[in-house]
Amino acid sequence: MTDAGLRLVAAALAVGLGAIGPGVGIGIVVAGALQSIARNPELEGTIRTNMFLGIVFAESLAILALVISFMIGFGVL
Amino acid sequence: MFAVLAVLVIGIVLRFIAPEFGKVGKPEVSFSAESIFSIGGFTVTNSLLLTVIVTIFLIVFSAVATRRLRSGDEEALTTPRGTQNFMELIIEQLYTLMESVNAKYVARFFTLVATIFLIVVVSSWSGLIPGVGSIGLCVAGGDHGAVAEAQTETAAAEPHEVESTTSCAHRTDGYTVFHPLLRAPTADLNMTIALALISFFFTEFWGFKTLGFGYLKKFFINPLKHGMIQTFVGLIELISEVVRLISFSFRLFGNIFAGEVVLLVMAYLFPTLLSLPFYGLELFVGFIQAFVFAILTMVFTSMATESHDHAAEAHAEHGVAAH
Amino acid sequence: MDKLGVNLPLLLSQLVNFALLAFVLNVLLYQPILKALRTRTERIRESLENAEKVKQQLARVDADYDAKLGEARREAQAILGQATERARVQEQELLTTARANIERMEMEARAKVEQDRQQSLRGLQTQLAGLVTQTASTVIGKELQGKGHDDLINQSIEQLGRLN
Repeated sequence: MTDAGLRLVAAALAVGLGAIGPGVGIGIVVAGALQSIARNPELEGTIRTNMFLGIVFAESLAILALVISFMIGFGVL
Repeated sequence: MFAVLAVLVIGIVLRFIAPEFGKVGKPEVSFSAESIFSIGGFTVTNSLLLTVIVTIFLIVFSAVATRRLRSGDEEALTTPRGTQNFMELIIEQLYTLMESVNAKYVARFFTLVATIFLIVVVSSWSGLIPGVGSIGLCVAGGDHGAVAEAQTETAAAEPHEVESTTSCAHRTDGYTVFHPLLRAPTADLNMTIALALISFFFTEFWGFKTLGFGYLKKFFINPLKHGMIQTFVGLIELISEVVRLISFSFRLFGNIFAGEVVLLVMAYLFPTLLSLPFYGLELFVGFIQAFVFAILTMVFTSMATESHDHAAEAHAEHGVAAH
Repeated sequence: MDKLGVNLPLLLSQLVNFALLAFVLNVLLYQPILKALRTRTERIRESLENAEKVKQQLARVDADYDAKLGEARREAQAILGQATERARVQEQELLTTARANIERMEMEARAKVEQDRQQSLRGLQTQLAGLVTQTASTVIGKELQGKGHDDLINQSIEQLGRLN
């Protein structure tokens, strides 16, 4: 396997593996938010805003993985 | 129902007719914005071009929207109509939302946060306009950045394969690299890093302005007084403060860029039809990213203006009360 | 960073662009609209206050009207009561007068009847006395003269009176 090919594999693995955790995390966040909306429909606006914030924090981990993947893929690292 | 059927039929017909009119190249994904022309030593890229267009659009639109309001028209004040009503709706919603985050500083943070929201949402949606990213120039290969280099590297090994991948490959006069004329500004790291820097410095500025040098107490905690764990927490906060820059810029860039790539690949797999649902998704993503960018700036800045000591004391008191 | 397409001039131009946009939008968009929203909120608050004032005034007028209406009703009731009372008194008076009249007329009638009776009785006595004397003289066949005649008349009258 050439160096470029290895880099591609590494980039794909970096983002692929890095997306697992945030994916599960976002699922938990949304599940919790939906449950609380179902229990307290009058608080839907607040819950939705905070849900997006929670999603974003979980997502930023995936973004970090994406950055690493880019760095590997484009030869920065 | 009929419209959906018509779209389906037209899409399927186009799928099989389109290749007859011209060669469909493989989707070409460029990570960085391509240069279009240069003034002096300054290279203007396609995303910068669209940024300027978006800026002018926003300015003109808001000037038109508030024209009657600024002239002191009494009727405009009592019965908002058309664009003015639209902009009022957006501004009022944003203001209310920001007020729910921090009612004390909302008037002072509003300009920056609202501008971030507006430019991000218009920039992201501008990339979805047909023609943006698909109309472009064929330029001489070589200054295409890393992707082109990587392609030329592989091109040496398998020349025929690569030649067929580019849309400009059929030209024989040496112009072999396709540069779109326009590119969504938020699909360019320059824009997102600039926004992240602005957001970051805005947060730090307000932190220092409201708390003075006491703002630094949040990050550098005396281990003898509060214990080692608190010191480490402070250091972690310091790191996350800086990492925020990266997550801000790459979140926006990643989402919008990935969306464009998805649209491109879907259009390549099945022209017009398959990319339709993804257009809806990208509209939503563009809005959500703008919303998140603005609200996170607001939340972080209002967190920075709150004294950490008070929070810690309140926490301690709460703990004592609970026991 | 260069491979990601990031370079300083572009970054700076984006920063400048954003600052420019923020400044212009602040002047063109946010300040006018926020000012308009504030003015509108102020006006709505004012008109709500006015409405509240008018409502209170209306309530006051309503209460006034109610009070006046109640008063009028009470007055009317009082007047009605008075009139009824007066009518009752009048009726009583009329009744009393009528009763007195009837009694008086009855008394008069009775007195008259009594008088008539007495009169007719006296006439009858006189006639009867004459008749008796006549009959007696006829029966006895001789005219009583003088003192004896008068004695006889008086005697028969006395007898009749005793008989009566």
